[in-house]
Amino acid sequence: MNASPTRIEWLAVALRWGLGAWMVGMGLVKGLDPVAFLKAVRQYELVSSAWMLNAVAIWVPWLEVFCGLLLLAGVAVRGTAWLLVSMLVPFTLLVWRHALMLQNNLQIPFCAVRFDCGCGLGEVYICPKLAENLLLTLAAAWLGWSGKGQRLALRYELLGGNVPAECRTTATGHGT
Amino acid sequence: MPQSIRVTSVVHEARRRAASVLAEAGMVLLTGLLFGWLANAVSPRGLQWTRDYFPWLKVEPVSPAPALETSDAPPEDAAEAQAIARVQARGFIAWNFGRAAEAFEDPRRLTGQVIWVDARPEVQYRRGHIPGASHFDPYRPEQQLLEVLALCLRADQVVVYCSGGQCEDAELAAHLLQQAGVPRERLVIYVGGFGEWVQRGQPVASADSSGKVQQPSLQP
Repeated sequence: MNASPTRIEWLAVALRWGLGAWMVGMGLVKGLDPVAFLKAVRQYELVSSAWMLNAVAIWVPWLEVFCGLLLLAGVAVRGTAWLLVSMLVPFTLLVWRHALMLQNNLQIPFCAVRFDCGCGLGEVYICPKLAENLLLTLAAAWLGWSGKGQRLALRYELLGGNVPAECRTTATGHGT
Repeated sequence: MPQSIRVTSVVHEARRRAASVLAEAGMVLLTGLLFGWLANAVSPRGLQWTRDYFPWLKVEPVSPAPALETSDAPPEDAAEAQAIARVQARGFIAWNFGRAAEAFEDPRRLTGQVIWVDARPEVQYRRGHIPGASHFDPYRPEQQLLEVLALCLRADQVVVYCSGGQCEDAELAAHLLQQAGVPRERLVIYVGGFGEWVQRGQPVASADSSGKVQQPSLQP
């Protein structure tokens, strides 16, 4: 890619805002209807005890909202991005495993499997869902790895603060 | 600078950055968990931490399972057959559409001897429900339990339904009603649920924001 640092920086800001808005939106859908999310989590047979199931159903949506807000504001971007990766990867594997199980039970093509994965969008086809999760994971991993996307960040530009050395760009002099 | 010192410095710097990011992620996680705890505590729809929302998982199937009471044909598709098998495995009587429609025409419905219980979320109930059905949310039973229980104890038959298909909320509601004292043999599950009811062009009533039931109407 032959883009200038500034263009990459703006791309990172767009990714940060896009990912943040997506997380806030999906988190709120789940957080405001926790019973529906509780039922969705239960289908994965992830935990056996009631309180652990409840804890997952209570914490995950609001953690997504919180991470989304941090990304939108530009606070703790790298830590938040890696935290999202650590949530997205196991969740995607769970969705994949459940889809394989449904495919096996229903004897239909993998991409024809459709179920409510608890993602906040109701029933979805598995292939677009996996592609979406892959993109979200890649976006979060890139933000976490590059440390970019700190333009218009509350922490560095709007309130001031020390920009980490690894996040500085020489071309603009702005924190990245 | 010698090569070895430069490599050591780069490795040290990489470790420092990784530790910094890890610490940041840990802080975000802890703060996020606190945020989640607070949000759940203030939300009117918040979950209870220790409550078992699916107690019927522990219910052993009654042997022999009650037979399907149908007025017409056997299950129409695999999904219905699956739902019927699930309901029977949990020890409840399963009704298909034909039997449910008969019960709806039964004049005893008007005297409260046959009552209908809608186990779907309140928003869906307000949008539309089977006329005369009482709302009972099995995930928040404390809200309507006493009212619904009084009706159920007076009735000869209690028909419980949810959305149909894979929805298990009707079974959960029936289980809670049974735990509250309604004899199991009076409880039946309409497995097709509200989805099938509407699809078959049956009458539907809706409730406004005050809970007042509107006139039944036919919906496609």
